[in-house]
Amino acid sequence: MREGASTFSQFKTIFRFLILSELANKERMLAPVMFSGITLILLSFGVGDLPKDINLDFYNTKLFVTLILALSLFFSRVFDLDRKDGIHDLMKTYNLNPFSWFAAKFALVFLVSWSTCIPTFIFAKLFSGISGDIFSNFWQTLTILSATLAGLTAMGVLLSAIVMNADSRALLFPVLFFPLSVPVLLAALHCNDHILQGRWKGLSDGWLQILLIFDVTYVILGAILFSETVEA
Amino acid sequence: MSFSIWNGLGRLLLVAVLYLWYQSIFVLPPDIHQGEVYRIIYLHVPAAFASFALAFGLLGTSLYGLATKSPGSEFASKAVAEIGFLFTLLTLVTGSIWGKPTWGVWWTWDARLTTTFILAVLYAGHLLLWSSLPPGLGRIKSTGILGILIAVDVPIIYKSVTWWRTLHQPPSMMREGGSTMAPEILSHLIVSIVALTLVSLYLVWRRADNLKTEWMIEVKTLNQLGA
Repeated sequence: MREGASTFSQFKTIFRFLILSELANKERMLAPVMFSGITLILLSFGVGDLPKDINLDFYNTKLFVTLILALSLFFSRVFDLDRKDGIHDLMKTYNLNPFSWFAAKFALVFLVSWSTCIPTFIFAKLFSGISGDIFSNFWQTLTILSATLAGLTAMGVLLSAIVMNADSRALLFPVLFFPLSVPVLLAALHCNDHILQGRWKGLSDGWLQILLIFDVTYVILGAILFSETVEA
Repeated sequence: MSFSIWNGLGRLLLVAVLYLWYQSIFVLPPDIHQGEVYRIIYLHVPAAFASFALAFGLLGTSLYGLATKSPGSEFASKAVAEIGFLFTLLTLVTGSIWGKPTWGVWWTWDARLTTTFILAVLYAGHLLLWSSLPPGLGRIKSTGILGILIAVDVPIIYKSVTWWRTLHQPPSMMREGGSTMAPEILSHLIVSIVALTLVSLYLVWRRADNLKTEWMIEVKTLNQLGA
């Protein structure tokens, strides 16, 4: 990479490189989708038919918990490719702006997360037998899912970077990721519950604010602290 | 010299805490609603306060470690996480003992209980990360970043009682319109909180000192073997 390139051009170069490398390893994207499909089938089969009001609550919980589990599978391997072929160490030797690096990784993970998020959303809706159009409240749901993914992605990238060199990172990642994702998960669950009940305006009671506060906090912390993980 | 000063301070804190517990159990009057069982608040509330305060201590040692990259900061961080974990467990156990006669159950998936349990898991996660990384700059940075993330979680735990429908009572000390507690209970509780927080800081200091000594012995032994 050209020395002294602007932050944005560094971002574009790293992002393009990361996308190509991700697309060359499709298994990484498929594994979380298969995981969420199997989990949702097992949960729906195990619980069976439920009364309508409980079914709606269960659908909401099932959707977000499965999503968090599936995403943790993906996030835990965010730096696997870089680590395997030594790219991460190589990139450390370039005079890269850590912010461009974080932004490129964040953008990639955020985009690829949708490949897990959309099928999980469709599976959850289909397997729960929730009546109505699958795209009802589309924009509201999209807003909540985007906000949830933004917070989780920022934290996932940062955590993945700090456990990258740990001996037991496969075990350590979920142990750290799940408790730290609780605020985002709870806020997302309540926001989606409001949408399902047709009370979108009720979100002004604070849940959306909590979700957004955590998004902003995790994204800012990620952008600031990521530099510590890449400095040689 | 400094060793005996720290020992003396430790003994002083021990005597102070024993005196406060004696007062809590035998001298102060029972609560008008809860009777004798309420006395556990003199251990439960100070332990909870110390476990939260130590999360901010972890934030301090993490920021210091990231700013200075000093090896001493990683011992301080580990000591804070260990003592924080112990005090969070103490909070959960005393809360559970208090919950049985007042709520009728040892444990319930209540917001405050769950978020406090999550704090314990986070402290444990910090200790696991510390143990699974080789000593050095990488460990200072990784555990430092995690320490900051843990501190961000603490306000959620504190506010959980007001945000979620919960069995746990709302804050009794720091609330709008002043405390609802009897003055003698409140003053004794504040003194207990200060005392147990000082004990936790003392334990952190001693543990960090032990870790540093262990490390120095290890380095000295390795140097001797190398020579």
